[in-house]
Amino acid sequence: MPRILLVLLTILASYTSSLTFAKEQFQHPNTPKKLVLLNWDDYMDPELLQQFEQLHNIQIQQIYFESDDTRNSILAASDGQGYDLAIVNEAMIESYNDRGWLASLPQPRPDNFQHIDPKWVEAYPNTTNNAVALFWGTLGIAYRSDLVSQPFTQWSHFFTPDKSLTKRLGLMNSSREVMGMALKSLGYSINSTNISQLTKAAALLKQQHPFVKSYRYLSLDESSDLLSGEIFASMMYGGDALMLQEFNDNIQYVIPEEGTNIWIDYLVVFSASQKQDMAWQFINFLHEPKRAASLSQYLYTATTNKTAKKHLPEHFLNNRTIYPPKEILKKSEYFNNISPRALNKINTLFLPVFLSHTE
Amino acid sequence: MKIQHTFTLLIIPLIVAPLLLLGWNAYQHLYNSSQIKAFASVNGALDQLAHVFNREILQARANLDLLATDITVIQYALTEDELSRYSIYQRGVLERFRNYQQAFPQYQEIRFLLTDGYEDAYWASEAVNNQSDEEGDNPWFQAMALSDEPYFFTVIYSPDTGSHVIYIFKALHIANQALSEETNQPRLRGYLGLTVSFSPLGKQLHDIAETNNLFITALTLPLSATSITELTPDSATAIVTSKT
Repeated sequence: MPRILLVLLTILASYTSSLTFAKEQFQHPNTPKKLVLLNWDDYMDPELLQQFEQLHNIQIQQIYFESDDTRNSILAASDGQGYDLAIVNEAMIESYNDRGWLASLPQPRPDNFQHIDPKWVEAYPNTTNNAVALFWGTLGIAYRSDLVSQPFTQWSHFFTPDKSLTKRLGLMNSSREVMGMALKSLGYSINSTNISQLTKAAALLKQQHPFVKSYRYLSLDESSDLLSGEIFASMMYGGDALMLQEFNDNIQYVIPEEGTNIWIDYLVVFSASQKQDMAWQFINFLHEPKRAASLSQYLYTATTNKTAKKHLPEHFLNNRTIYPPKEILKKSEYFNNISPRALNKINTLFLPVFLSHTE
Repeated sequence: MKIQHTFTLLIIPLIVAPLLLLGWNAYQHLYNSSQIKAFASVNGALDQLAHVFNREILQARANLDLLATDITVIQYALTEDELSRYSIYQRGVLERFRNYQQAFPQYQEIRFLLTDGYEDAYWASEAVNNQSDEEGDNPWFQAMALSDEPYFFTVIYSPDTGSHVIYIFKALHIANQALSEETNQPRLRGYLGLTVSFSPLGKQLHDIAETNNLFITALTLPLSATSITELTPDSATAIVTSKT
């Protein structure tokens, strides 16, 4: 009798546990699956995310970073785990790939990848197997025309400002961007690795220190320091400046006469992700030309999708902030891959300037 | 010869000689006594100096131990690919160096040197003018590299700071846990080091010296890495003595 009871109990226990497993797996077939996207703040259209969720029953959970360097720190802390996708700047893709963090593009390539203009793929050939170009743009100066005595036209105005701008400038905490623009203001290439030129750029940043209110990239909502007037002028990406202009017409954006950096943002999928197929599905979804055009307009940022341009209105394509004139682009540069030790030098010169700053 | 003269010649030496002998003895006694007192005073002062110096070195060593267990520093040291090290991990390491430097302003430089002497991660107070990021050719580095000791220190005139400083380093032997058991043996990844300013320490030494009428001068040690693995009060005394 006890033996029969034991057998019955065992059967009952296995049945219950299998039911629990089945419950977990199948009880809510409509429960959305989830992808975790490491992204800049305000850098995705929520309506598109909603569409994606409705279409594929996949939610996108976003984790925000405020600079390329902070994204690197976040990923370094988790060794590239815990995230399915990320927006990554061109310079970091090789490093991420070397760490084994990135998944290879699927074969065959998802349909909508054919719409990407080859020139953005060719700009950084090392990215072709692991990253999908999404946007491109420029770095310039956003300023409050009602608060500054004269408009900014050059980087040198920004790095050697007049006294009225004490504690009124905003920078960002990315070594290459800040050092690159300081180099540009001195008439050098943003890719210079010449020690003397780098040292001069660092000295310029030290001189500028008393004028800097913050090295944090500004938020793009109503709480932005540029809107409150705490900051009069800040380094900013073109699309972000246009977003802030929606709140205040006095915000102007300029690509300085010396030229600037042309950046490309890529979407990558992490090799540690268990949902790589879904992640590629999401990227393919974003590159459907009409959606790519819609996202481009939402973010006031130029798309890398050549077919999407056909869906963009004339005034958008003629906007000089989004699509800068050729003469400015000619003076501007991509960030080249520089030697690791040159990068070490740039970090060693810039990070003390940034890390010793107190607001 | 008159008897008076004879008497004088005999009596005076009899009186003067014992007096001179007594005086000499008294002088010798006083001389020995003050010498003993002076030696005792100097020894006491040296003990104090040694204590101050020892405390600074041991504190620096403890801070290096703590820094060496920081996961960010370990991850940095384990990352062999330079591009990844500088682009992904370096900021975190420099933030930690900054925090230490803020807590211990006497640490003028905090750095991680590779095994060839390259300054791989470097943080310095504003007063420091770093002349070179290659230390491999410096005799003190070569001496350190030849040593098997886990800690090293030397007192040296630093061209970066324009003053005498203490260099104290900890050799980082770390195993990469991500590798298989056969290949994850601890291996030397580099040296974590502090450049300790003599200024705060110097003030304390100066006060001790002034109280005890001592004259202290800093001499550059022979260029050999000095092991402080077994730093005892006696060896610290010897170190201070050699510098005073």
